[in-house]
Amino acid sequence: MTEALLRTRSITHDFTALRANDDISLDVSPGEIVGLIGPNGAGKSTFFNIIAGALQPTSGRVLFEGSDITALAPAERCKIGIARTFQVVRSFDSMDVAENVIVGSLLRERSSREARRAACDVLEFVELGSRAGTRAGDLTSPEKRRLELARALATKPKLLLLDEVMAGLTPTEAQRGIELVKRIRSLGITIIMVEHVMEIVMPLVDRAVVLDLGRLIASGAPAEVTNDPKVIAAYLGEPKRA
Amino acid sequence: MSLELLLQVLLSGLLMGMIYALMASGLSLIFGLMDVVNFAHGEFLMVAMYLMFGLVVLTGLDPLLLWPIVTVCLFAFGAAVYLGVVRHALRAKTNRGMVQVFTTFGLGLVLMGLAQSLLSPDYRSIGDSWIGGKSVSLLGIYLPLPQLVGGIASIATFSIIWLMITRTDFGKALEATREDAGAVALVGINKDLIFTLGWGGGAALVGLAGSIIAIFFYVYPSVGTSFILIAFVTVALGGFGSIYGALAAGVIVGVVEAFSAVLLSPALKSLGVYAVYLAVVVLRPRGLFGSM
Amino acid sequence: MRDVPPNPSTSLADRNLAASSSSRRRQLLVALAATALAACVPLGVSDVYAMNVMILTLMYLALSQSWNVLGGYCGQISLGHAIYFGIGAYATVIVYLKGGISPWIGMVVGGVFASWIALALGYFCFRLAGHYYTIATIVIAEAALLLVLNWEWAGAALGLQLPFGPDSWATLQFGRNKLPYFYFVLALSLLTWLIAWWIEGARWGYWWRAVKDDAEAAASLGVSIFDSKMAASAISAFFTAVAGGFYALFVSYIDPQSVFGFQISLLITLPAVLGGIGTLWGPAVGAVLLIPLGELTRSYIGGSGSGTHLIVYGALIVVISLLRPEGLVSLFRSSKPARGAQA
Repeated sequence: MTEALLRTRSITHDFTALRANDDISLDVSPGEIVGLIGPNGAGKSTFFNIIAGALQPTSGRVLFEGSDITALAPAERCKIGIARTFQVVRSFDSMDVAENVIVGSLLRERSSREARRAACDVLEFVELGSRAGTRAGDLTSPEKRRLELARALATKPKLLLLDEVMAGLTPTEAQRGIELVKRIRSLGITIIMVEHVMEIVMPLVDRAVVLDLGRLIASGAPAEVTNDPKVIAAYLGEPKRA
Repeated sequence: MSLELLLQVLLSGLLMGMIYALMASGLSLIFGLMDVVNFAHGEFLMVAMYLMFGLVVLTGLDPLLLWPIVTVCLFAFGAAVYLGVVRHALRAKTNRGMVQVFTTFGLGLVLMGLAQSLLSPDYRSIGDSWIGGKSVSLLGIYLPLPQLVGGIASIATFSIIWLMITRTDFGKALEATREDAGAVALVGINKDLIFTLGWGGGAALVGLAGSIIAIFFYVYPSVGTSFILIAFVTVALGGFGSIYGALAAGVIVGVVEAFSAVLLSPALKSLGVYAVYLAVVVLRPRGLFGSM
Repeated sequence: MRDVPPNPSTSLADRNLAASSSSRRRQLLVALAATALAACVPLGVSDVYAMNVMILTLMYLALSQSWNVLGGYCGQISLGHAIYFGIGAYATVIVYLKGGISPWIGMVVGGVFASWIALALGYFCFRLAGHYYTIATIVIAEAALLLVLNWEWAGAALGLQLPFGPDSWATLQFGRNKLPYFYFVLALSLLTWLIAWWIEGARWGYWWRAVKDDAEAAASLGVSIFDSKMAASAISAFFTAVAGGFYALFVSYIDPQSVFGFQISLLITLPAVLGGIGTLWGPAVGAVLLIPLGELTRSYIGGSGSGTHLIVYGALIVVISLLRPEGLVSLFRSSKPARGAQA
């Protein structure tokens, strides 16, 4: 077993009247694709945002390559190799598509010229090359998701956090998305993806981690997890809670 | 400084502060509701003051009888500004921050310009009325009657707001909108309606403040700019969006201003207020009662 | 660190690079040509009034372009830029009057001092998002006005008068001949334009625009929001103060209201807002339209007391904000291909 890339230790997060994350410990190995799933209100987004640095946990620690990054701001996390996308797409609408990606690639490139070159390569990789000169605001929403992916990839991450990138896509678009995630993984990038719909992620991930009511209730190969009675109960119970 | 003078300055500052609080509460209400700063708030005050002045001249009635009309008119005015201008500004896709600032800011300029060209830049005053120009004396301390009435009106208004927020459905809906706009859409509260009422309410509050200020202060086109800075400072001090913070901060601003006038010089009375503002920005950026 | 494999056919990168650099070169040529053209205008204009209007137009162009660095590219709306303008004006005059030091140095002193003030202001206000900064700028500029109004050593409300001296480029004093001022301010306008042009292609430019569009997303890409805002405000304040120093020399008499007053903040901001914030040409388009228009309404419709100019300014910015938030230059842009490659 190789040294884990990311470790969380006893992550607990309290909102005013609600414990959103309760003692979550998770190890993610380099090169893994981990699917973070669970019914509505399971605490997936909270956990995701704690890893990304957008939220500070009430208690617990986040370790990346062995060092404690719990207090590190999002910008600093990006510098050490953690990139993310957002659940609601956030494109820079006053810039064109290439410029959006340049904001990301500037982190690793010495000049804006090299950054533009790198950005174009990433755009071709996510099959958005033909839209390089389009204003980001004019993209369709599946294209905007690709743009966000490109921007995140341009920062050359070791760990990529994907927040419901498949949400709202048609089956064809989702299929393209799955292909893309596979190609990203083949670059050796570790991926944690949050998805609400189990069916989409299961064929894609090495390991599924299921949260329910803020607790980690199952973690393992997708086939095992889908047959886990606790997981079935959690998803069956969902309509009642919704 | 003698005890009498001390009390005199303290009390006049206190009363003026409560009027400032009333004026600032409208600004705070709108901000708390929808994160928009009404940069035309000072001109709303100016409109209210001219309206009061005009009504007094036209009807010959006393301002104490006319303030409900001014307040209601300002409510309608605020709601109209929301529906006609601000609502469209919220839809901006690019340069969102700039659009929100400059739509209300530009509106303020237009209102000021209209007042200058239609009503002339002259200073006007309502003159003596039932309470205007009169004062009461209490243990050797003189309190101008308009400010005293204004202070009482302010306390009454804040009590009513408190009751409305805690005891009525509308108040609860308002609080819910503040907490989470998305959740509000889910429970079926009409956000547009809430915002319209919010702007109406915010304008009505400044309408009431303007009705009172018009009794003891000159009415002129740029009068809003003299007060808007005080309102900004009050809201920043109290914490943006906090109505009660506005009351406490207004009182602090009023008292600081009164003491600055006596201790420094009347020309520098605002400087003390700005200094307090700067101190708060440095030490407690979210204001004394702000939460975010 | 893993790389996305470089594409075997690097055509997109090449095309995009070529398109972006040729578009940037074209912009530069247009600016140089426009400056050359503007430099010829005084040859045909001898009217003193027209000359003054042209000088003021160019000054507000330079000012608004400086404002644009912070407000337009970085999205931090300042409505108190008069404080930097006033600092520049006072620093230049005071350094000359009390120290006998050349106004050229005075302008730089004013610029540096204004940058410090901007950094101090930003240090406290940029920790909070949104409109706090805008409000702080208004209040602080007003506080500065009050202070200078009561600053006896600097002439208080009466202001300061530069002594009449012989015409000289060393002291930037020219009695009747306005032409040198015209060329000075034309050069300043070009300089501020070049700064904006450089920013558009530089690291900071991408970061600032990202901060303006979506600060949280920018942070997720490793952009330091705070540093970006600080850098933008220091540069913006510096050039605003230099233009303030120029103004003091041009009119040779300053008082607090005329350089620290709110109307200055307004006139610095408006051209960029009308023309298009965060664009290279917005401040120029806005200033060329607005400043002569303001002068016309003042001279023909009535004095500034009539309020007409306020109605015109106010209505323009409301209409532009609502209908064309990207400013008047966006009217031209739609006909041309967007910057970058059309693959």
